[in-house]
Amino acid sequence: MESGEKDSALKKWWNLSGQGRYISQAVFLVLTIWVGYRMVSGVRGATIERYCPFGGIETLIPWLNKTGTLCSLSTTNISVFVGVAVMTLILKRVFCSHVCPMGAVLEWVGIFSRKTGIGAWKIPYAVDNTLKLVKYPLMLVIICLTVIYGELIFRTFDPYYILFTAGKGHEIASWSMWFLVGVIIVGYIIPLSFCKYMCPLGACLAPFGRLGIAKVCRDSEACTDCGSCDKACEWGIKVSELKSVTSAECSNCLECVRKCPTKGALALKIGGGGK
Amino acid sequence: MKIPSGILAPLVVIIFSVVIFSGSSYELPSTQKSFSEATSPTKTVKMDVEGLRCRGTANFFNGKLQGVAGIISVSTFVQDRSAKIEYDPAVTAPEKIKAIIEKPVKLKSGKVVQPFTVTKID
Repeated sequence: MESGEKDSALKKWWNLSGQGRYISQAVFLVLTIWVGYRMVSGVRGATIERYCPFGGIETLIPWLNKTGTLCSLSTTNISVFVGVAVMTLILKRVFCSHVCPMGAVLEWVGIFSRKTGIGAWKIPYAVDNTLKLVKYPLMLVIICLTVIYGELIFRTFDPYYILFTAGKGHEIASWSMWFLVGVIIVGYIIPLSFCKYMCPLGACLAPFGRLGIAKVCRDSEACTDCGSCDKACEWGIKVSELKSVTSAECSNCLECVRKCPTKGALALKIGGGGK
Repeated sequence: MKIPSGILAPLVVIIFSVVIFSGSSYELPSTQKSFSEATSPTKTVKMDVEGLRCRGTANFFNGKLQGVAGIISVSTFVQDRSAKIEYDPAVTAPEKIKAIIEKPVKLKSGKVVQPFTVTKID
């Protein structure tokens, strides 16, 4: 294979891998499955809860009140949340699109749905934007009840915890697995529905993401208004109508940039907006 | 300033890995209790304790050591199932502390259980 052809093949593969995003998701997914297996097997110190940023929010108030970290959480969770929040202030909600194992599962369910041509219903923007607001009061209720009762009440219906402990974790109820199945089925019909409408971590990171300094910018002079970016965006953002994507929902997955047929029309930039 | 899209994924992997590593390396105690003031030089012993699973068991663990002569303070690390115990070596010793921790308790039902087992002393 000639050097030029090799470079092109490499570039094609890199683009196919979502410019490394799918690889990143796969790495963290495999690591989470491994830790979950060790946790369920009773290996000392192995717990998927250690790496959950939302755990850091849940345990922050009790820890600051000097009553100790909640249940099996630790200050590692608080550190992870702070680190993810800072990362979100710079790169927007890349945690959701590049790291979150549950987000990866739901995204790939959505991709499978599109490939099989069965599901992947794109609901009207107005309905989608209204449903996205549901996660904010839900997040507040979860945090308040967690602090009041001193228990991780979200465990019972946290799809991340249920899935990666294979339903064997603490406080998993008989209906928890059915809830997980429901999340996946709805995710098959409406891609990333749990992430957009219910995820409490997404609700916590949204204000940081809104301020994120690295964002997708559109060059309106180069843009041909083909709408490929809107079709590509799973987070329900009308990229074609924006100069720069400042939405709190944007996870910088860069699918809009990848799918844009016009070179230079969309690009990831720091600071400056589009034209 | 434009950022090549292709560097975002490796950058996120590196940043998140650093966050996890540093968060795990510099972990603060889940609970921390001081029982008395040190009046002479003290020593600290780290013990791996089976049965230390959550805040509830950590508080019960602290309660077992409260009032024990020579115990200055206790810090528990629930996710690692370990505890660091500061003690006065003139009054007590790690083996004595281990015996107190492993002492069975009687439940309200009358059943006698051993809630904690020390598996390692450093």
